[in-house]
Amino acid sequence: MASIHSDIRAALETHISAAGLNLPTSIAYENVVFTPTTGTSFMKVEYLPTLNRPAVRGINPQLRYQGVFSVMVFTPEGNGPATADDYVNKVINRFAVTTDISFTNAQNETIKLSIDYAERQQGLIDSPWYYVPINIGWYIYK
Amino acid sequence: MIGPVVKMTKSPRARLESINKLMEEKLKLRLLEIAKTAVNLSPVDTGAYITSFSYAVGPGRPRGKSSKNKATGQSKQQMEEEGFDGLKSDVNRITDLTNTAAISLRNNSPHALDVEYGENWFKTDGYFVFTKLRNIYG
Repeated sequence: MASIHSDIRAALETHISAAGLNLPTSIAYENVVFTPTTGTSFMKVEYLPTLNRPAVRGINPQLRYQGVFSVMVFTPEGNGPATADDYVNKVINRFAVTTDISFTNAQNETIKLSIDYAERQQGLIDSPWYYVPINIGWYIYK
Repeated sequence: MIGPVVKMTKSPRARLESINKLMEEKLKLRLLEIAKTAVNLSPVDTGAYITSFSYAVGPGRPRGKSSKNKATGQSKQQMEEEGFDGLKSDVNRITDLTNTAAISLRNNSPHALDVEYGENWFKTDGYFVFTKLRNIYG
């Protein structure tokens, strides 16, 4: 049986990297060497599990897993916030509240991940980039 | 009929006061729980970040320490205790907890954004302390 965390991570990363979303195609994944090209927008994603608690009482209870999928949208510094805002809105729409994301792993097991919230933060400068963090809250019962 | 026995000997005013007291205790415990999680989730090198948390109920200078010229490799446990003690004293200083409109948890160290998002760090990713707190406590 595959780890639930690998499946959740894969579900989230597959959902954001799907074709046709008009989002930056360069994505910096965790622990993967990534060198951004100055002047080209990119995204950085991180998987942050926070809780793993029994959802009910009794032996062998169903578990509730929850956490955050952090997406940071980087656009070139000095060009205004419009490009970043456009990408951010697309990410938030993609992970709209109450969305369910299905993912089937190599063992043919399907999980259905629920989105709790998708919230953006204020834009920040990290020269030569302007970036906006987006926090996507997810949960799943398994 | 068999059911729970509720004693109603106290006057309404006394009952209200005891409910208020209970609420205050619950709120205090919740704030301490959040404080404990905040320090647990925080990284420790010089200890400047972890000891820069403060609970604030209004204007006032929050704690904020710089890591510059501080010895690195500090004990995680010791710094966690120091950070937690600061927050505990903030909670104990709030006089009328049940009538306080808002309490904010802040970290005013100059590198708080670096710790959160890994900004300006080349090898380490951010620790997302506040992001995780928000996810756990809503």
